[in-house]
Amino acid sequence: MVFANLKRLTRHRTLIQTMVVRELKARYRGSFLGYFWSLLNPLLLLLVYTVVFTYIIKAKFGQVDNYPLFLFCGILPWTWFSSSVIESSTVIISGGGLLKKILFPAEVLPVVTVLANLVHFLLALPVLLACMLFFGIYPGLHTLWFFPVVLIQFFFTMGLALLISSLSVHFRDLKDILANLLTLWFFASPVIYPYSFVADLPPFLRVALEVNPMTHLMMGYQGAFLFPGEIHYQRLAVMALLALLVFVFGYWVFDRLRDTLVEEV
Amino acid sequence: MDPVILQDVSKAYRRYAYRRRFQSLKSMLLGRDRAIGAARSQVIQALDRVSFSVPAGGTVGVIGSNGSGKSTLLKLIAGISRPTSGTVTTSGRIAALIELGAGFHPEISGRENVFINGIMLGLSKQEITRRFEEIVSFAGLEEFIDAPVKTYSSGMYMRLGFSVAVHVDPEILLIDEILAVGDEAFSHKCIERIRNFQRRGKTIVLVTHSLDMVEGLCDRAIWIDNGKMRDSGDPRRVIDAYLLDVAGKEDAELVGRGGRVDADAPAEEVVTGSEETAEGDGEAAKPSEPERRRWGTREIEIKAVTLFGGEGSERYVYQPGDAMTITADLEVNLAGEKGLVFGVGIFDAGGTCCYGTNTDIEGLRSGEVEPGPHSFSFEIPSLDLVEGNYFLDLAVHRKDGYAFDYHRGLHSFRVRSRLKDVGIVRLAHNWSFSEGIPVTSVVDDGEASGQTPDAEQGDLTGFLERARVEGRRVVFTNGCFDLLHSGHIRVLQRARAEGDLLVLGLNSDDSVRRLKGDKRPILPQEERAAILSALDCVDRVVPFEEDTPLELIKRVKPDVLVKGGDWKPEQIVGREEVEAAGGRVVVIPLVQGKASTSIIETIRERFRDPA
Repeated sequence: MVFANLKRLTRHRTLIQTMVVRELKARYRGSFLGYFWSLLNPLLLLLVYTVVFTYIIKAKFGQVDNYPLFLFCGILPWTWFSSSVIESSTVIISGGGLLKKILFPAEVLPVVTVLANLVHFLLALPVLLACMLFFGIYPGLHTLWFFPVVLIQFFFTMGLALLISSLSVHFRDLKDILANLLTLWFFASPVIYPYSFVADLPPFLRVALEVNPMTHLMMGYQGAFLFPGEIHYQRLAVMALLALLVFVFGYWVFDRLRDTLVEEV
Repeated sequence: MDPVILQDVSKAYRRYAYRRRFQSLKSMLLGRDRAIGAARSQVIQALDRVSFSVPAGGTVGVIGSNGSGKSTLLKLIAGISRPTSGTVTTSGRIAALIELGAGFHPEISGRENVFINGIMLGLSKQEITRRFEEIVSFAGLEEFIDAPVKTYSSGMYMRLGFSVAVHVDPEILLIDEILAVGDEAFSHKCIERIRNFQRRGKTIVLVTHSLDMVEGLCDRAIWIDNGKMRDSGDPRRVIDAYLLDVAGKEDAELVGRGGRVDADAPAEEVVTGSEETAEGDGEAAKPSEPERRRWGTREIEIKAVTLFGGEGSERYVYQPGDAMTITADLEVNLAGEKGLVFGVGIFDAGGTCCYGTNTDIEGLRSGEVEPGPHSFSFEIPSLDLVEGNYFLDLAVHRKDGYAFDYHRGLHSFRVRSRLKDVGIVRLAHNWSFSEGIPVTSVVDDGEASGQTPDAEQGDLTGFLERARVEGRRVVFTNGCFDLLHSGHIRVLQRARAEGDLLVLGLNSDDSVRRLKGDKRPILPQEERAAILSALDCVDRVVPFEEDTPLELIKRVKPDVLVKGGDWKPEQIVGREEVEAAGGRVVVIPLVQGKASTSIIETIRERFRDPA
């Protein structure tokens, strides 16, 4: 079943490709300034958190070496994840006109959403690398870990996007709940604080952090860019398995609901 | 195999108010199709066991009122939604023109949208690159192609959408009511493009409210009513049946409404002429809608109004020149009434009176009438009206205007004409010109040019269309004509006299061989066609391959089908089709001794080798 689906997706790769390009073009309006504006959001977030946690609240984790860089490392992939999930909750409803009029597999829509946000994420990487150089941190062999981590996150995000995009057609309030859930999830993941901070937490919070898949992904990025010694192979392996499971499950649910989508949107 | 096959296709939607979506997440994921599980009352049957197929190269028009399921049908063929039961089988690339420019993104340029839309419709990038210039020039948007689509006018937007869609070059083209939106020039372009598709043997399914388009473009019409297939077949016949049904429903509704209005209307409702006008002014906001109501005391009541054609059967669709009889059934509820006036009026859709008269005007006096059922009829031997919908006034009143029952515009009929002349009545007329004005018929254009059979077929459509536009009656006959003799000429001349144009179906060489044996035809097809074309009485020669001219007859849709020889009507191929479409069949007996076979015998006899 999964293979049939994947085959169908590869058959529509030109469509997916052009739709991703269209999405990005519409976002950047084809200009360099447009690209810059789209970076503004994570940069602002970065600024706010840095100021708040290092100067105002003076949180312990705010004193981490190169804290802005640390934040940047986590915020970029998180933005990819959360924008993909949020956008996928409306992508089928807003693309419904298209589904009703043109014949193409509906999953193209969430796939395009996740891919467009991925490209967006990748386009921000040069800025991250520039920051690293600015702080005197140089990429090395360990930086290559970035690629498997991205791949794992891709399947994990894709699975959730498929699940949410199809369910949200039937449960329209899903997208409202989702915004709150993602805020909670953001704080429950080591994005603004390092994982080492966990030692100070009560046990139940520590468990919560352990079972959160995003914890391990974020640590992966931080390991690849900042803390070369801290790549946890076993955790990533488990994450890879989990991501595949989520992907297959998400696709299965999507398949079950496929025929109802055109009628309900 | 036919490119489009529907077998027992049903589609059910859930009624929105009942849509509890899913009972639980579990039932959603593990449950079967919800529409099947839902109680019957909660389900809207959008399509109910529809079966038909479209042959390769066929053009089918789907007609029906709003909400009848036409668009659902198209979506099922396109594969956009799936049938609840039954199967839809298609073969070949499909382009569904359900909405023009669906998927255009307003922020990006027309150029990029052409690529994206083309890919959505199934083209590859190379194909689009190859056709790009053509797509843009067809849409007439060369200047604006690099501007964002949001700056386009709605017309430009549509033209670009249509242009992309038709350049997909599908095997099957599905069109949903999209041509109605463009301006005149653009819709001509669209229709031209559709004809082009037809000539190239593509299969087309067209959903439209434009019955003219169905009649002009389709070789078959399907009438969907309330999700069921009510009728299918010759477009003219199906369209007439559909219009008749619509008119019947309107009549029923109006009579019903008229009755209700009267029920709570007091005696003063009996309106005199002046009040009537005043009331008319009150509704003057919609001047083009003919007034429709009913008033009167009903002491004498018009119970039913029926229209009959010349052949005596009930009919509500006529052609100019047909006979029509209006019959009103009356119930007289009072005794001793005399000096009754019966009136009839015919109004066009704009409310203009085309003709009105009554028995008083014409000096007819009625005597005393007994209570009980009676009737009167009004016969029109030749209904010389131009095409359109017409409304009837029928009235029974006293000479002083005291109305017993007055039906205003409650009954309607329709006149269909191939000739799109204008006005109200069609006056019998002839054109003549002084010698200084050379006028020739355009109908014979292009005949002399040597054409391949295919081009000939394509051109036949144009030829027939012109004939139709000009209101000429087309006569059709067929034969082998491999040894022309005076008997043939006589039949052809008489055939031509039955109408205005004679289309001659000529059996191809293979077809003659199959019918008459290996030694025939004596002259090959090209020569036979050349000889026949030279005859004054023959306007068009069309070769056909099949054993019978049935397919050709279906294409030509003649007004008169002529058969030479001793044929019984039920033996004549194509009789049903022609008569169903309102045409007639004429048999012209052959002259004794005048047959190709006897000429061949004579030649053999006289030129026999003496040895």
